[in-house]
Amino acid sequence: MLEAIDLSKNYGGHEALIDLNLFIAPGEVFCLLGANGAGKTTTINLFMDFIRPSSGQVKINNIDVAAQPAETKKYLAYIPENLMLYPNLTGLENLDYFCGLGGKSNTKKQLEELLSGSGLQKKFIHKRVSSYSKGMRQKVGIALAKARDAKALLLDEPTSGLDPQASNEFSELLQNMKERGVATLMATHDLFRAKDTGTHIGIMREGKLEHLVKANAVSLNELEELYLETMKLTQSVL
Amino acid sequence: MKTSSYINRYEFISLVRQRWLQFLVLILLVLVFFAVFNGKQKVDQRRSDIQSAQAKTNQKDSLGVILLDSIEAGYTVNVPRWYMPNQPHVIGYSYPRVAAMPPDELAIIATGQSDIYTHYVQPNLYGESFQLNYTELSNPVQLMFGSFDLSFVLINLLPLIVIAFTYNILSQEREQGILQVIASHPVSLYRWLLQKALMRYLLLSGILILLLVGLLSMAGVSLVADFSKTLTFILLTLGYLLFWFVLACLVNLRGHSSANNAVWLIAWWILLVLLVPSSVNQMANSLYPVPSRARLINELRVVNAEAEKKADKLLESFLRDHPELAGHEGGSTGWKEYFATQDLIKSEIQPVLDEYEMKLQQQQAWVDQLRFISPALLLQSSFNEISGTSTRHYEDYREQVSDFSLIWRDYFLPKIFRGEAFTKVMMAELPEFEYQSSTTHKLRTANILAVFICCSVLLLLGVLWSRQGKTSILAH
Amino acid sequence: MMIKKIAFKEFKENLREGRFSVSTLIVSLLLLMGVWLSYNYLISVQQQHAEAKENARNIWVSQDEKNPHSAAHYGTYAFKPKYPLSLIDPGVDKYSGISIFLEAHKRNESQYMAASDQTGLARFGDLTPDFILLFIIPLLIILIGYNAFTREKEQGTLKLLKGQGISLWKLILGKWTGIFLPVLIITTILFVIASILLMNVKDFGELNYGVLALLFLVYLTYYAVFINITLIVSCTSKQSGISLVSLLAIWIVACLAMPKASSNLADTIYPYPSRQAFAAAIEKDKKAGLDGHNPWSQAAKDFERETLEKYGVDSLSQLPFNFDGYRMQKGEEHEAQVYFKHYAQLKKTHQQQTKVYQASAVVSPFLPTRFLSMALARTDYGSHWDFADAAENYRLKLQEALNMNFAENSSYGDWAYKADKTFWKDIPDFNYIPPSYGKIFERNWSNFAVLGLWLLVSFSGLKFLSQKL
Repeated sequence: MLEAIDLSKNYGGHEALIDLNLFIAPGEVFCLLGANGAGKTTTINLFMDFIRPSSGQVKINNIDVAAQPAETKKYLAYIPENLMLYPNLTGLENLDYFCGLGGKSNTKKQLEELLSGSGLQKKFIHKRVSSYSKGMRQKVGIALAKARDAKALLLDEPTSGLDPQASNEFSELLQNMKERGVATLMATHDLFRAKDTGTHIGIMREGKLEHLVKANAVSLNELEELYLETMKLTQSVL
Repeated sequence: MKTSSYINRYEFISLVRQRWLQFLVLILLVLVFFAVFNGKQKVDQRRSDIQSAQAKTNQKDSLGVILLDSIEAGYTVNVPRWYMPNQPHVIGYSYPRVAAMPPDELAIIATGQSDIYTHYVQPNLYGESFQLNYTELSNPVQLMFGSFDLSFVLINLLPLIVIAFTYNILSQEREQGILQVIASHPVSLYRWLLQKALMRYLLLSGILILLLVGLLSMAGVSLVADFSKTLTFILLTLGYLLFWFVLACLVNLRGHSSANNAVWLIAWWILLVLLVPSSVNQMANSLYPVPSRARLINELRVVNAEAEKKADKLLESFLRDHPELAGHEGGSTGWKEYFATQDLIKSEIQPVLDEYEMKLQQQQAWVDQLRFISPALLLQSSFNEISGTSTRHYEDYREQVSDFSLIWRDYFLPKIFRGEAFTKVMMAELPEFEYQSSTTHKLRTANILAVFICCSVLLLLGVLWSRQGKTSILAH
Repeated sequence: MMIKKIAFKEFKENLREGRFSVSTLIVSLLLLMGVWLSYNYLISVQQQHAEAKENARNIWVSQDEKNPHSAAHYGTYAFKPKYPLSLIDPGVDKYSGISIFLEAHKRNESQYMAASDQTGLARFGDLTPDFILLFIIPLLIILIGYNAFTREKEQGTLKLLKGQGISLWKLILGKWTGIFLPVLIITTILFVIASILLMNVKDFGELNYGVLALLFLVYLTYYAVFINITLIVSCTSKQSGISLVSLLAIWIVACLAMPKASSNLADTIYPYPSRQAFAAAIEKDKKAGLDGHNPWSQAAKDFERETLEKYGVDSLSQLPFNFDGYRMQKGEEHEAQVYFKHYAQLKKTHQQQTKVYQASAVVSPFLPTRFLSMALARTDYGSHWDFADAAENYRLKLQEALNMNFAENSSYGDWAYKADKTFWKDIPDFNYIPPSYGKIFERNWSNFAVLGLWLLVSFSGLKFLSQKL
């Protein structure tokens, strides 16, 4: 569903991403680990068409993102690190609006069900988003992904800054998406979540995908060791 | 539902909840109300000035008729001999008509030059029309500050309201982080922005037009009397509004911060509304300077003196200063000579005056060409045109008065020369002045076209930009 | 020390921002252009004025032998002088006419306002130094200072500074100085250039450096008020955008809307009569009294009788002077009184309107500055009145001299009497000496007071905020 082929991006001489190749099938959750500036967000931005690749290709559902950005977005849902919504609209109105932008209309009841199905407390559904916590906004994001029936989910450090309980809830929702056959690409710092929810884990360093492991093939300790090993390389170079 | 209707709906709800809409309605209401109130006051003043002058003239006329009635019936009347209305020159001098320039239907819109010039004169048999003083008695501080009229609100303040309304139409969404979420949806960002801007534009236009039509009607202005003018007014306002909306969107597309956008838009406002007009004016004055009036005064006196020297052969100099006394000598002696002198002086002075007129017209022509530089200039000239308060209207009026004073004179001269008595019947057939307000449709159409062309060019620029610049709006 | 450090840091930070250097550059260029254009205009107008004044005198002096009263009707012109400081602020000169025709029986209004010799565009204003000083520099202040505090808040550096125990008042003063410095430099350069230019021009009359310095101070006070307001708004706003928009709104209200609104207000409460109504009222009063040209009116008959009684003679021809001339003079005196009465009323209306403007100044610091600037440059309406009144006084003296010459040198009924050519020269020329600055200060004390009040209140507001924040 999500595919990167020899993908590179450089910003005026700085290589942000070098020859990335990855393929994420439906039902897979691919977690990207790495320090700040390793190229995780760049990868996601390339899938979102926020930036264009210097070379290589990004494909969603086998469609070239650079060639038909609007088409590829039909399959896509995106939740950034800090999902922002219109503060003066309620959660439901936000959901309705964004669904509308995606060309999907829903009845009020459907929207309410989607929101509560994503774990948003009933009493908040008709409150303005300005009173929401970050976790609640993320839930609206998940509801949006569900509502739009997205085939691919792009997550940029979705759990950073969430308290453990909210973080756990979020993982459950991800699990749920996985079961629905959604292909997920998630950039994160959280090794535990990556091991817990991911099917595949990639460790990035200075724009390169250094390691690629199956989540169920390593233990959390091994993963941490591997991660720290990879990071040490950076420090020794410095 | 279509995507666009979702955008419209929630844009509207957002605007209401941010109290933007309420604020807009309130501020526009206050501004338009105050402007209409001021405009109405000036127009009413103008009307009542003319009416009271007309009433005085009518009163005097009826007194004259009574006197003539008595004289014709053979009674003696208690009036000095030199004031007897049965002498044509007495009527010509002491019973002048009111040559008034009543306000046009839409005069309320723009004060224009109406605070500088007077709106009625009473040319009589003796004074020459070019000697009439057409400037109004006014406090120059008021002329300097100008009037808080609709044209000020629409030309100067409306763009600022548009700027305050749209300077962050895109940048705010980016700064709040919502733009990324929008961008993850299968909708073109440009289309989305266009839809939002269009929604706001239609909303503001709707409120504005409603307020304008409502308050103008309440002020007693008939908007259908000359519908083409009303339409011009509305189209120009909408076009001007559109211009600032498009400009605001373009500035937003540059992808900078909201504060940066505001600074840029204000810079454009200063340039187009404050600096360009004053620079064009300054340049017009330097390129086609009207010769010094101080010099004219002396030139006129020299010409006058020479003409008088020639005329001295025709007339005693004292009599020339006091033609009203000429009547005492009785008959028509001196009249021919008096008017001959006047004609001589006029023909000698005319070339000097023409030079001034020519320079002013050159200035005007140059300014007219340059009005396309700034939509503010375009609107100003159009509004003055629609209101009948432009420089051209007052020139036109002066010319019409000048023609009328000739008609007035020509009516009396034969009677004076023939020594004919003025009768009651003649009182009813005195020439009357009626001001004909002329409008140039061509100019108006050109101005409307120009405003919309300005907008289209900007829009086109935006489209080209979006084609090649791609997603720079997401940057920063 | 601390304040100096902060000020220089602000100044440096501003310099590094494109917005600051570009806008300062543009304002400086506009100012130079404005000064240059005004200077050229002033020089040419001054020349025309000198030339016209000389010509008018020549025309008067070179009159042929004629009856003095014919000369009185022929009249002469008084030209309004230009003052050196009109280079900086031309004030209402454009709207107040350049000359007054002085003739028998009539007080004329000044004629030929420059604005009526220009296209409708003239109403947008001119690119003169006062336009930049009054409108654009406050905008510059807003552009430099709107984010003085919001930036620190947004970057989080305000907490950092507070954490270091810096007194907020010192921080404010530092920032204040940082904004004031560039404005001071621009204004000083302008005034130095203007005074150098004016020093090199001879015919302008004396340039009073004290007044120039005072004008400079007035503008600096105005800017200080704007800096205070800018910092207050920046201090209380949460975001730079909000601060900018609020400040711009304040600027629009203070500099654009208030002057116009107060002018409408003044006109509504104390309207001027229309020219025709004014003239008609004068005509009515004139008719009620003695008309020098009308020996048949009741007033003239009464006057004749009184004069005969007073001199104890039976007929007018027995009088030791020409009664025609004497009556002419008495008529002139009556008319002068009528004019005096009506112009006093007009002047009262003008003063009432001025009070409305002065009251509006409480809402806008622009207004007192505007009026003070014009007053100090002698280009305000009050200066115009001074000139018009002086011209009227001269006219009355002129008429008296002419009428008395007629009365004393001819006998009754002798309209053929002609005065000698040399007589025209004996009548002194009109030389206008404007009132002292003391009188101008007196007239404008409330403007000084209101501007001072603005400074005081805005400073106190800032100080108050520094304790609260």
